[in-house]
Amino acid sequence: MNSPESSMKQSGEVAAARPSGRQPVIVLGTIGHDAHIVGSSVLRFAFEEAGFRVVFLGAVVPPEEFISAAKESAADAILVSSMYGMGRIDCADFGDKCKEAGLGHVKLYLGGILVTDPEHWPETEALFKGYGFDRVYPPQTKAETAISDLKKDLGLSS
Amino acid sequence: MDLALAIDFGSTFTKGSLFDLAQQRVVGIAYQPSTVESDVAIGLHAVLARLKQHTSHDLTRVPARVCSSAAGGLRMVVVGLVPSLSLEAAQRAALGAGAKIVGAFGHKLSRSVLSSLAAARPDLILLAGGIDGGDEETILHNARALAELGLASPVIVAGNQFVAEDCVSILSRAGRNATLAANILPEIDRIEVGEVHQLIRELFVKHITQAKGIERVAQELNLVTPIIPTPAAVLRACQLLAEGPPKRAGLGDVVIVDVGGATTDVHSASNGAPTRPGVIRRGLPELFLKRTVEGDLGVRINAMTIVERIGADAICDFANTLHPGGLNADDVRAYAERVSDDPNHVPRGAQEAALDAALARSAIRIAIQRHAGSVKEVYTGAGLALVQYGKDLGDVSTVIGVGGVIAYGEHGEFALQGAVSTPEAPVALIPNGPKFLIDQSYLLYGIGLLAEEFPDAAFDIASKVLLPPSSSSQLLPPVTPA
Repeated sequence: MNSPESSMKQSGEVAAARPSGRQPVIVLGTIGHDAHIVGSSVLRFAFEEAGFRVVFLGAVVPPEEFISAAKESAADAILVSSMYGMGRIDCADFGDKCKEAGLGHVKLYLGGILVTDPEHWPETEALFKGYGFDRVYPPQTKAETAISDLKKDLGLSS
Repeated sequence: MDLALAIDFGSTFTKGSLFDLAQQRVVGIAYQPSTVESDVAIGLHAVLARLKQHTSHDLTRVPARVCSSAAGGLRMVVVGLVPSLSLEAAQRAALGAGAKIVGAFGHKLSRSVLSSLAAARPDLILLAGGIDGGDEETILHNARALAELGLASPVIVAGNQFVAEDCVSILSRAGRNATLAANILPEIDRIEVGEVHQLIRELFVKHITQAKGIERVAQELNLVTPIIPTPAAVLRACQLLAEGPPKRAGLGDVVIVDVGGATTDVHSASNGAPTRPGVIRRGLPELFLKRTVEGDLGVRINAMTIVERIGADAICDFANTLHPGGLNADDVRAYAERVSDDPNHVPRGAQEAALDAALARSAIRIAIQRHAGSVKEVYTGAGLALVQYGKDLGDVSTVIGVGGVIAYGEHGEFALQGAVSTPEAPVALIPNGPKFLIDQSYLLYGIGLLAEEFPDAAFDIASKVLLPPSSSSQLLPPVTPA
């Protein structure tokens, strides 16, 4: 996980934007019984490039492992990918579990192919926000969107 | 003759073995009940006197290497943050260094936890928590809490490097002996134990063997290497046997099971890579050398726990395959109760030998299942996948048995069968078809003590003294304490 030079420079800039000077940390992986790893890999490199420290968990990650990794890394955000339409099952109590684990302050982002039914995005988004996610993204969302949102949410940019 | 002396100050016996490195053979072995509680020197002198019968050399001049698990061994408390992450990494680091874990605590240490920690009377504390750049709050809180606790035990700080030095300062300012080490969990998927192991070895010599009088007694010998914990010596032997000496083939992946009266220890030298295709590995990465200690499984003091875990009926079935017909579940319970009250009990007659072997087989089964990983099937969007946690020991070539019930019992092989997979439990990744060897003469510690400096001789000696269960030609007579 050696960061390329550009990422080092970026990380300095991003970290410098915070009072603590600490590089922001995200936990990232594909939740549940989902073996898709390409999407989260793309996000991993994009976030590293943008100066974030990425704790990458890979695919087929139980919800509890996101939470454990977020505690150990004092993560600023957890980014959950779900590509196989079973998001409802895997994510229904994710926000509650995070709160219970003392991670109520951690930003929760979710994206991917979240449901198998014909998509009515506003309903899907509302459903998953109800599960405790701060931001929910439809398929085809660009990594830059999530990066820019997270910088905003963490107070790293205006 | 090129002689080498190996001494193990064990908790129950002081053991000595004399090797001829040039001829790769054992010259003599001796055992004496441990005298650590009174004067450790008495047992050593008796061992040397017995070894003297085999040689005209002055044994105090023969290069000696010493390991010790006496006086409670290396008692360690480990502290981490998340139980499945930094705390687990800390436990593995401590066990791999040969420690006895007397307490493992995650998250912020509370007052009640601190009093349990103090009550555990650790020789050494390993303080971990947070990946590098990760959580800072917990390890700082725990360093302050340990600083306030009136314990003299040295502390190794091996957590988040961003605050690890601060933790050392907090502890040092409070007059505590604190040492900085590299983070044992620098990233969520990387364990680094090298520096922690090195520090544990140094502190073991500096503080623990000195405090227990072992260092002083060892000065009577021509000590050529630092004293190490006995389990660390056994792990070195495990590694040498698996990998072989430089430029020579080893045995392949090796497991050592040591069934004692109170605990069952399992050591493995294996990277634990999946033996089936299409497996996704999850969980903390595994170290090539792994040691686990099952403090609830032993064939004497903890015999009743084995009965509770496996069931009297299952143990009875095992015993009846050796001693057909005669036994029922009540006999199993009665025997287990009796031996737990009398840990020095030696089985008498075929029935008790069968019961002992059945208990040992059951203890080995549970211990190896806990040591090894497991696999579960998950139906992913892309079809069926297998998710593996921990080590897959399916391809282990050799299982080595240690402990009285295996070495001296009539049914050592039957007991070792507990380590082999059966069709009923396909999720446990335990050895499929290993061959068995038995450390009949308790020499693994000696092989381990020689392993780093004389790998060829140590390997050749091991191949002579570790015997298949069926072997009728014992090189050495069974050992009985004098």
